[in-house]
Amino acid sequence: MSLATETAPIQAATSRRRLSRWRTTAVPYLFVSPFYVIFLLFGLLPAIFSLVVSLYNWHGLTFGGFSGLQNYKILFQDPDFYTALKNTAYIWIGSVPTMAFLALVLAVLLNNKLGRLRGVFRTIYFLPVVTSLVVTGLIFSQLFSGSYGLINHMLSWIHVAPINWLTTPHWMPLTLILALLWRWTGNDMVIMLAGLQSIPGELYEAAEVDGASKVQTFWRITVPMMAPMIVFDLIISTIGTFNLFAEPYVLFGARPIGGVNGAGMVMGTFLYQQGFVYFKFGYSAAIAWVIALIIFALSMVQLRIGNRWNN
Amino acid sequence: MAAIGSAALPLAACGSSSGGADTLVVWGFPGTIEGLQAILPQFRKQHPKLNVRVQVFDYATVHTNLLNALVTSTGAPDLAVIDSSYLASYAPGLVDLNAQRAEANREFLPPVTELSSYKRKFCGLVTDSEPIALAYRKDIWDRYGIREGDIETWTDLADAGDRLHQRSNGKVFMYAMLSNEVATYEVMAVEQGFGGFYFSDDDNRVIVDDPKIIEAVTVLKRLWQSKGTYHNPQGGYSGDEVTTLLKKGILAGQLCPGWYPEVLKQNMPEQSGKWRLMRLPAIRSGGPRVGYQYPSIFVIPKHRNRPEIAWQLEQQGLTGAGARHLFTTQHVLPASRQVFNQYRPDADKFFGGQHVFPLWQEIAADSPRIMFGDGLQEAQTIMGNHLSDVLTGAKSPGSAMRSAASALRLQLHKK
Repeated sequence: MSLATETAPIQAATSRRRLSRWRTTAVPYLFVSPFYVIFLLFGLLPAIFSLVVSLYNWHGLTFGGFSGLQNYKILFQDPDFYTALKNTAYIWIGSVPTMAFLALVLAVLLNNKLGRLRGVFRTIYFLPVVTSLVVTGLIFSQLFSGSYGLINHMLSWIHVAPINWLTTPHWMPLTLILALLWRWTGNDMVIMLAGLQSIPGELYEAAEVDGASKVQTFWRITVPMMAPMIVFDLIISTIGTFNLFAEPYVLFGARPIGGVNGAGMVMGTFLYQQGFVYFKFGYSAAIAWVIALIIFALSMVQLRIGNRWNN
Repeated sequence: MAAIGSAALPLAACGSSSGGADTLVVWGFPGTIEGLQAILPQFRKQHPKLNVRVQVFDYATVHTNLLNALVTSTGAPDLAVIDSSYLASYAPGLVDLNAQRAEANREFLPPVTELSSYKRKFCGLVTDSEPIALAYRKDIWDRYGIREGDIETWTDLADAGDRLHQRSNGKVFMYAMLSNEVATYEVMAVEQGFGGFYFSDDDNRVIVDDPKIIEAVTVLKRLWQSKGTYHNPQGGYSGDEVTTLLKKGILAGQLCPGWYPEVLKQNMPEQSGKWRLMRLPAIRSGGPRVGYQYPSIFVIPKHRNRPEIAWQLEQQGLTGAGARHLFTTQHVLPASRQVFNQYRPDADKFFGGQHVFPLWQEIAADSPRIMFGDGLQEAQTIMGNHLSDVLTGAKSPGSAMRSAASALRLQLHKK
């Protein structure tokens, strides 16, 4: 027997081991690869492409070439950008904390009191989330109409003059906040309810034994234990608010987008207007990146606050 | 005409076809495409080997999809309807139909072929004619002693509004406006000789700081300040709230483009005979009393291989039976000369037996050259915000218009 024939089985065994090791290492990657391929094609590449586009002067069918940071410079001089940012911030402050608080209170009520009716109420509160946006827009435009709306009609009972909710600039963001609260509180409530059900019952029993009132129990046990869920909810709602589009679009109309004086203009509709009404693709890509950076910064702040709160 | 047109049309390079080799694809939105759909059986007889597929989308979808198709040079239809306010944006991607212009001029009422041209490129035929008049409730005006003959200028209208509101104990308004009222501004700009509304006729310059425009905006402010002007109706001058106010007799007059009378007729048939149409007021006594809005245009995208057949279809859809069908079902004012003349002698019962077609024709004939410039929609938004500063008293007309001009120059890269 030659040396070659003696070493052949050893080499074959080594190859098998290598193949086996490769399989052990690679197969998991193979299984998760569909996600990454799809993410690469439809997530990462478009994001990188939009970053590149934001550096070009691309207006409809006219490709004006590389313009560096010009789109960003123009954006920071654009009064409409600040109007949209101010409105979005106003709506964020007006809706997100209120919505989180209302959702938590509703969730606590549903969790404690209603027993078998919990499912019914959960469905009722969740119903606006699954209602068509067009229907929501129609309902709110009828409710808040200046000359024939139900809200103004009810206000007339206490001698309040009609308010143009949908066309007077300082009332428009408030109307939008109310619409958002109506539509999304049920969604947040379901998240909160899931969080509440993970709090150990012993904590409440101990509090009851110690003679804590319901309010004390809520603030001293429920809220701290729900901190991670509340932070999660706030971050999701912040992202939602800065990407808000459908509600203001439906409520204030599309011509012009944002309604009278752009008072209902938010970052999402501002981006849409620049990209798909004015066809300023480079500019709208720059807006998209600024929105992303704002959301990232706000989310980091919320996470930091949440971590401190947890600690 | 079709034969001449076919011969003269440039044959574009064959591109990818969303409808297959034997399919002619048409994109449109409701209110524009019905005439063309009506003549399809006849057109199919003329082209038995050709399959015509008409796809109806909503307004925004047609514009977005067409832009995507033109940018990527793939998937464009053979024929599409666009709003004329977008004409400048799409013009580079459209077939130049200048060889058909003379024929179209004979077939259609002026200024139709100019409306669908951008920088001397004739891009297609319009679906309707849209001169603007003032519609008013004659019975209400009579009740409160307002006469059409007394209103020659916008200031006269504002004064009459004051009287109407006072005499009705604050119950009736003369006119409705938004605080970012570009609709009335655009009428006034046209009356001051600026058919490009915000831009010069060659679309290179911003004109909103011109002294004539500042004068017009000063007049607009007077109209806003009239007690008879209803402020900020939901949906603007043709929205739901104005309809409600008109129906209730709270509003006695409004801007009325060529398509609007039929909206009135449909929404308030019970008011038949009570309405009248009149020429718009002028800025100054003796000045022009005109206005013109944005019709839709059938255009032929480049990179398709049958522009001559698309042109035939477009032409048949907007003349003869097609135009008649569009008028009788959608009630838009016909741009086709033949169809317009057919209905010209008719007395309109809704307007108290008034002959409204000759009035429309006079307004259209007196309008200066209308030009839908690049960035028109953005200009409307920017101008609206600055008009609001004027109307709410935050800025003087001169200061606001200079500021608007700077913003327009910055955003739209014009002089």
